[in-house]
Amino acid sequence: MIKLSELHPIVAGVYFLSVLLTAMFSSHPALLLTALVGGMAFFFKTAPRTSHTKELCFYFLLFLLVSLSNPLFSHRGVTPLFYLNNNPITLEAFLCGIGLGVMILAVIFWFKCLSAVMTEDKILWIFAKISPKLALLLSSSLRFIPMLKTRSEKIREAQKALGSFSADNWLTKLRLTLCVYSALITWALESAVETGASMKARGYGLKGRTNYSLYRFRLADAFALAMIAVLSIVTLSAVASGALSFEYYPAVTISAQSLHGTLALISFGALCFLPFILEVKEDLKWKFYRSRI
Amino acid sequence: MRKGKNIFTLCILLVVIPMVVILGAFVFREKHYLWISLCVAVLSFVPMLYAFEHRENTSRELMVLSVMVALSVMGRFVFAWVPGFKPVTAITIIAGIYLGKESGFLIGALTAVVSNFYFGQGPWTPFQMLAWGLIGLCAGLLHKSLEKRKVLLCIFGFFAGVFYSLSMDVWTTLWLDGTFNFTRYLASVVSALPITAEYALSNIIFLLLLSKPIAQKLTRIKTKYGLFIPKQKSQTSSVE
Repeated sequence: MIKLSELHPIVAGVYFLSVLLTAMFSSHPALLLTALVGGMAFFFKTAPRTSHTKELCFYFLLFLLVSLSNPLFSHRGVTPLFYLNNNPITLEAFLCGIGLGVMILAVIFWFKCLSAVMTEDKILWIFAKISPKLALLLSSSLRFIPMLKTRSEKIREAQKALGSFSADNWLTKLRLTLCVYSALITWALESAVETGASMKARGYGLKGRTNYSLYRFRLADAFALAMIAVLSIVTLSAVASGALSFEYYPAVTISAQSLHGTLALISFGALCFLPFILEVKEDLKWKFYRSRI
Repeated sequence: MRKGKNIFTLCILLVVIPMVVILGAFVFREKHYLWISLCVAVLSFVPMLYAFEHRENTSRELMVLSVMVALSVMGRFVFAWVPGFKPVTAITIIAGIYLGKESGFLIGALTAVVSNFYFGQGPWTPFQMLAWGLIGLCAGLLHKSLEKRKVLLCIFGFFAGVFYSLSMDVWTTLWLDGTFNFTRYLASVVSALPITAEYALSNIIFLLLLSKPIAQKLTRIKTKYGLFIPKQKSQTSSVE
């Protein structure tokens, strides 16, 4: 087994698709919790260790907002806790809100993992398979952005040096920003045409174009893809057959425990935690090799 | 070879995609509205992409499109010091008017993807793409009247802001409830009212401030280098 970030982009894409779809579309609390904990574990293992507390506080607030506000929107359920303006605030709606909060956090964390693993070059590689022209558009605009940033800084400095926007109030600031933006547009459009001409001169659109990134589909990728497929088919078939159904309304009902359901839970757990486990394994290996030097 | 490839694309379009939609609706029974809406949002790009891929574009036109995307993403950075006050929709509208409806759709949709590389991708990305893309497309369709009358342009900008906000609220409701819970929709619309107002207002302000200079720049580029000329016109001019 190899790390998620070293897998073939399509395999990694399939992995994220299956985890995200299961997390977004199932309502079973065990599945949702597994997805949340797995996503958080992988994120905190791989993400750089800065500014985590602030983010966590924000997500905690989001969780509280979603779970506490749900009873206000949904009055279904059979166990009223109390009445607000003659509308029942039910236990079921409250529990459903907690489930929603967990689901949203799980999806957000998995999307963060996705952005960390599926770097821009991998996404562009996949896009290039579907639509080469679109990939070209995307990659060139991603390249133009840092270029435009430096240019807008240059224009701003030049304008400030001229002294025409020296007053220190917000109207001047707005006028300066608009002036910089307008100059930036002219400059960017002219240079875009120049880039296009240069592309043509260098043979854009001719046959035999090669890719910047080379991703080969190796045996390890095939193995990983097969494993992801088996694990997600087991999970999704249980979701589809109702072996892992969970209803909040009218009363909280959980499907009876079955072999299929248990298997699905185990395989979804494996699916969610495998990347984390592989990261930890790599770490241990690294430490072990270093200790022997 | 070419024909085989076309048949393959047709198979995907007519067989695989409906199968995925139906199977998904069956697997995710409890949230099939959400599944179908997600599928529709993603699939609505297919015809646009197909058309774009098969149209003859010069490399200059492509670069102008991508620099417009970059400029509208830059708008989010340049105006970062005023929260919520962003020229993205205005740029998409102006691009739709002067570069055509397809370019408007592409610029709107791609701005959503590219800016989310910086501001965070999420399940909302396809909906953002669709909303902005449709705004660009409509601006392109209505270009004759929007070009001439500033009042209409402002009204269009206002409704574009409202439309963007309302459609994102639809997505929030569907995501949270699985069905269209009207109370929640109303609540999210009401709680987003100040933001909606800010969107609409900033669209009007940016359209008033930017439409003239950007229009001049785009028309200049178009006439200077002969870009984005409709097919028939360019054929007749080449005959002459």
